[in-house]
Amino acid sequence: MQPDDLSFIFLNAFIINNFVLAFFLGLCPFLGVSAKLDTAWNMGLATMFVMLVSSLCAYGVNMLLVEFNLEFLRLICYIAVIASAVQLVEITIKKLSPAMFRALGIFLPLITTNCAILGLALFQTFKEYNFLQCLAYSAGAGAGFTLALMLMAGLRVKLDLADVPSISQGSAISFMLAGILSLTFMGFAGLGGH
Amino acid sequence: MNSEVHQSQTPPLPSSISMIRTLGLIAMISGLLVVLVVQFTDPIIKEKERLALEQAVFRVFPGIDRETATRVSFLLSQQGLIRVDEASGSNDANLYALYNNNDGQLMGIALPAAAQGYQDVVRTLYGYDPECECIVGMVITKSTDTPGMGDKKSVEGNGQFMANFANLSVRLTADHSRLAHPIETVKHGTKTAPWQIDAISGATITSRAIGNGLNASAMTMVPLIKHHLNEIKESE
Amino acid sequence: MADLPHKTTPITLDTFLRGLWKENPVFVMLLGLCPALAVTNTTFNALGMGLATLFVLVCSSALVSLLRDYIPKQVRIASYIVIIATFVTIVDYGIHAISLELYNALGAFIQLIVANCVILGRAESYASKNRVTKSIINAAGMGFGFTFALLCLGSVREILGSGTLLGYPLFGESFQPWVVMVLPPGGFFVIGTWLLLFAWLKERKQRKITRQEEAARATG
Repeated sequence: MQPDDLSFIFLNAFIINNFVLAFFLGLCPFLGVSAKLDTAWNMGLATMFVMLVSSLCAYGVNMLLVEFNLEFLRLICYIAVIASAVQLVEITIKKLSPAMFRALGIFLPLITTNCAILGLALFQTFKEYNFLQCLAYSAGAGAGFTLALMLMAGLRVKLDLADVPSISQGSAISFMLAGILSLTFMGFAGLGGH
Repeated sequence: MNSEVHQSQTPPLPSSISMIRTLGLIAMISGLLVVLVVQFTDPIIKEKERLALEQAVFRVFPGIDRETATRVSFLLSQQGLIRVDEASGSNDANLYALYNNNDGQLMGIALPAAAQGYQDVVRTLYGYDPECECIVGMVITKSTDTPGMGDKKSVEGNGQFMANFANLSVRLTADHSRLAHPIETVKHGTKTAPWQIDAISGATITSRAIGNGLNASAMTMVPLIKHHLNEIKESE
Repeated sequence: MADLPHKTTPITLDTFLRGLWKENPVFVMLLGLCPALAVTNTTFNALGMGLATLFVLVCSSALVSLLRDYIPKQVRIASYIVIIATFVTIVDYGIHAISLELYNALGAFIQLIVANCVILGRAESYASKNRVTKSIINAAGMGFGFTFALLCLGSVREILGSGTLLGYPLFGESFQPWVVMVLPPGGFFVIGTWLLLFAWLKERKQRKITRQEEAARATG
């Protein structure tokens, strides 16, 4: 597999360099909404969707900026684009599927401050991906985020039943669990190196 | 009563003019600040990056330094050889040639390479000598692989591994169209041919990434260089 | 106690110290975690990241506070984000010009300071309601608190993971570094351990207070 292959880019963002477990992006929702499996799933879906939209928007904006030699405005534009993309997604979902909106609604504003979205836009720019590669990268990143969130939620559901020392309750034990999860994901490293 | 409660909850919308004015003012302040900083730092950054690249190029060729040689950047592709002027801010060069300061002779060619490593892409810069048709040196420009095993410091500190690149054969076939033998990375201690790289034990994937990057770059670039060698030699 | 409006309360040492310890953004509020964990594999990177965030925090707080009476409520978040993004861009170029090495080590995480909720949180909940000097002092406290937390993480990870501190070897040749500490899992483990330590300290203090109370009740 070459580093530029679409399948490799997807796999890379999905498990090898998982956004949450290898880059620590989007940790706030990772710890915040991973207490229940169904909320984790909905949050993952919403994030994946916003990631796709904002990644494509960011690709377009970057092309414009490069065309006019205005790369120094990239960050300001990206953050504005992401905020508008979230709004756009919110309005669209509300219009198209009220049921889905009820499920995802409360998560959408949260996503604006999710650094995984901005991280995705910045990484794809640094890696100089083309349109299709951006698509694969954002799909992989979204799927990876959902996967990490679901795994964590599964662990935390079990954790609720476990008897842990009182001082480690809450965030401390969650971080330890995330560490172990991250350790297991390191086993995927080197997948594309052959 | 009801309307009063409503009033206190949502204060009247300020006129859109005032909103636009505020946003415009903030955009102006931010634009001014950013442009000032960019104007000020841009030449410093360019200079630092040029120096870093130059250092890497000279590190590829031990024994050659700025006193004895001058670096010229080119973009070499199927379309031909184009000289790149870095002062103009362009950074799409893919070939750096070193010329002797005294007689203008071509002393060596440095080429960038990249391939997927353990964590992320491993980027290298390697030196090609057209006379012996071999690679004469290699430095890592970026590696985020396991610290202590596959990172820049530990790879470049491994003398045994770096010795692979002191004389690595990239000979062409008789018709100059492709490499006679692709560069191969073999397990530690099993190197038998001059076109093989003896991997670091414990960092096989990083070693292989370096080998893969070199091979991919050499496969396209070495025949091209052969083709344009006289042009490069006379470009000083 | 009546809830006095912020404007009338004087500047005290607490304005500064609160962010440093009692409301430490990383260890207590669990905010700004992604930069806190991603770039703290060496002390030097942690320090660079901490100071960059401090700069953005102080500057954006100052500007937000300066403009607080002119920004209509409806567009405040957009205004804050633009202001923050401006200062982050400035820091990005500044670090690039000062040290190429640090810039390459921090990579995209400098620009990701924008998404650090600590900064937007300060702008929204403090700087938009307080005088300029007070906002600056509070933001500086938060910034130093953030830097302190990053240094706590970075130094432990560097000492255990590479056997060095700020690049100077601490142990002899025989030391076998725990490489996992400089890798992503190490970040989670180290912050988990720090949180455990703080929770333990807090619980011990709590227990002491309860015991004193009980003793007081027994004697009284």
